[in-house]
Amino acid sequence: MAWTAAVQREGARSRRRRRVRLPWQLGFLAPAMLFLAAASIYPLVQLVRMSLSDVTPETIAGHWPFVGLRQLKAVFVNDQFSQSLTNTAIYTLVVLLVALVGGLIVALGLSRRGRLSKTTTTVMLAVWLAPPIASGLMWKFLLSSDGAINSVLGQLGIARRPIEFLVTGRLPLLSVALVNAWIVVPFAAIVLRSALLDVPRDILEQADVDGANGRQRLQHIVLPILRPALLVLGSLIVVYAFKSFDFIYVMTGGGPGTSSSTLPFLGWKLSFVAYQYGQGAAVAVIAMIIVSLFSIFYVRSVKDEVQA
Amino acid sequence: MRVALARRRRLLAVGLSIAAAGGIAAGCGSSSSKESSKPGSGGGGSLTVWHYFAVDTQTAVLKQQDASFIAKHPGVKIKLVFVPFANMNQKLIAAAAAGTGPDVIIADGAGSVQLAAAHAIKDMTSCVDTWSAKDDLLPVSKRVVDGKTLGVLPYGNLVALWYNKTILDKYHLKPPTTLDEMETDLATVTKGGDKGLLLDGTPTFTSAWSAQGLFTAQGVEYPNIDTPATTSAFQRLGGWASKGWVPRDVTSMDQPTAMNKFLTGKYAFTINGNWEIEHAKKDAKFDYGVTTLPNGADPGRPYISGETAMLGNFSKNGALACQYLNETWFSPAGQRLTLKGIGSLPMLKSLQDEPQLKSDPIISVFVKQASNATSVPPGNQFTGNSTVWGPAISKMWAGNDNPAGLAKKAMADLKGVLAKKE
Repeated sequence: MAWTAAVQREGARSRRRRRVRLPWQLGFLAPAMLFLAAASIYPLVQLVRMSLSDVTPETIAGHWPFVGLRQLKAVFVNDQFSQSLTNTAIYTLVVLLVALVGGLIVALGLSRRGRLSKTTTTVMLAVWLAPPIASGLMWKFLLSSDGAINSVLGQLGIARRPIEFLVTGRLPLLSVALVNAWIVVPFAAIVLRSALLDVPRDILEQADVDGANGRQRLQHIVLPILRPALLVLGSLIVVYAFKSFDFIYVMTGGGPGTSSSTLPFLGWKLSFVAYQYGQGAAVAVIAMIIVSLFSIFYVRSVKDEVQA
Repeated sequence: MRVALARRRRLLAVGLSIAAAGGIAAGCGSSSSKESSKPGSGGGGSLTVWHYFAVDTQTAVLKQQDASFIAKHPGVKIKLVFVPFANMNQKLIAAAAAGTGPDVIIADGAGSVQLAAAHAIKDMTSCVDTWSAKDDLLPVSKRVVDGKTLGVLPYGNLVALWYNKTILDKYHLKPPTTLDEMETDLATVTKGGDKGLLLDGTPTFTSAWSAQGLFTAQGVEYPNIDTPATTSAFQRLGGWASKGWVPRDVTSMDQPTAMNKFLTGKYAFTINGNWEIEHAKKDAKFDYGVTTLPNGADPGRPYISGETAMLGNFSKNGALACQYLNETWFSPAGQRLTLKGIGSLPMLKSLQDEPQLKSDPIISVFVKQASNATSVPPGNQFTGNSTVWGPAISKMWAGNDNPAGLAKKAMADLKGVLAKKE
């Protein structure tokens, strides 16, 4: 079909645009790279050192006794670690799926230029920019057993008894993940809307002429063109969700008990509540390795895309 | 060796500064240099005081204490630095690692052993010996560990049982004095459509703090929890949640939230503190009262705590800081100021007969409750309270797990925490 060839041509054109090489101009990046090295690499080295040492309040300012991989082993056998790892995976998956699907739906709704679209985008930006502590507190009260959401559900006859969103089983974790996704949806929508506006109108018009319906246009034109944006966005969301801490801290404190604790929360708790800085650092290093794997996947995906 | 240590501290400071977000550095009025200021009636000098007071009545008292000191010493400048409660200890440890920190800390002292280990605070024994009130302090006010005075409580805070008299009158009930009576009251009010008991159930030490009296009444004395009494206490209190007497979402409710909800008038009881007296006076639109925690086979005994005055280890105005505490928070006038402003109990023996302590129907109950209160356990016992005991109590209120299993796990986990070196 003519429009599928046009999609391929458009893809090739955008890839050519990305193939600009700037060898000597990279020198301009040197100051920023030096700053990054100082601000990122040094703390990273210290973190790894700390994860291999027995660091407590007593030793934090002095000599850090080296304990090697024993510390990582101790962290692995801790039952809170496996629980937090599972929770982190569930949390990340929920945020990723809801943010991508929600973001795409919103972006499609806002894909036409106009005043309404601009106003909605501005309102969504406000949601995205709201401090997590404030948003988290607001949702904590909304989701409480006598909060607004339960009142509405009760009045509509959907729930006879209040749903204990922040108490029962896996609901606390899922509730916090959904709130976090709610924050990410505007960001995803804005990114995807920008990508959607770049979809050439003539290809869509050709598809119309060929008799393609809405689903076919989405499946065969929009999504293939959005693929690079979706990959980048998805990777960013995974990294963001994986290291999310503030919503859990504000809404459940990792509880009830430890049931909604994630790896970043466990790392914080070990470091700043139990004062076991070494163990907290070990959890952080493990989390960092997992996030790095996602980053490698992201970089390879982008590279493959460019090479294709 | 010293140079190496200083260098290491500087390097570590860079790392910790990045890790601990927020610019508190501006508030670090002191450096690692040796003490320079001497106390004097009219001499100059400056003091940096770190605190986490966020309630108006508390900040008002803090400012009044400072104003009274400046009135006597016009040349002295006092810089108040607010640090959020949750960040206080990590900021202090980060500052100490950088060889700096405040002169005075008015904050929760339960982590004082860790702060001393990190060299963030110093032994106050010689300072307290210079105070006019040194022999007048109640023994419970001092945090003494291994012969070192790590901090002193300028006032006492503790919890008791607040009740909604309007609700109790509706059912012709009296404030309970025993756990059995408490259960009868809770069953009656919830059956009648009113709500039961609120308390902090968050998964940290504050839930252990709030529920402490309910456990001691059943013979559970933290940290000696490896007894059958713990299992039966978990079963009994877990039953309160499953019967709807305690809302299960107390697990995400801290002390201020519990009080705010109680003040809506829908709940019959809350276990909450004397620092809420002024708040209740202002916002309660119903009749209320306070009674001591219900007793079981043993008395209901809460922790007595409150903020603790500590001296920064890197203060360059140590003598002035000591004098500040002596003339403000630990003077009779300063103690009366906190009693009047916050409703907190004085820590001087000579003030235990103050008219307000006996005549005020609410404060007098807290005074009575204080007579059987216990100190907050220090060191690893405190860590265990935060990381094991508090989360276990939070889970108990959630009602998702078998209470006996929770008790068993808490007993095992606490052993591991207490076995660690401090």
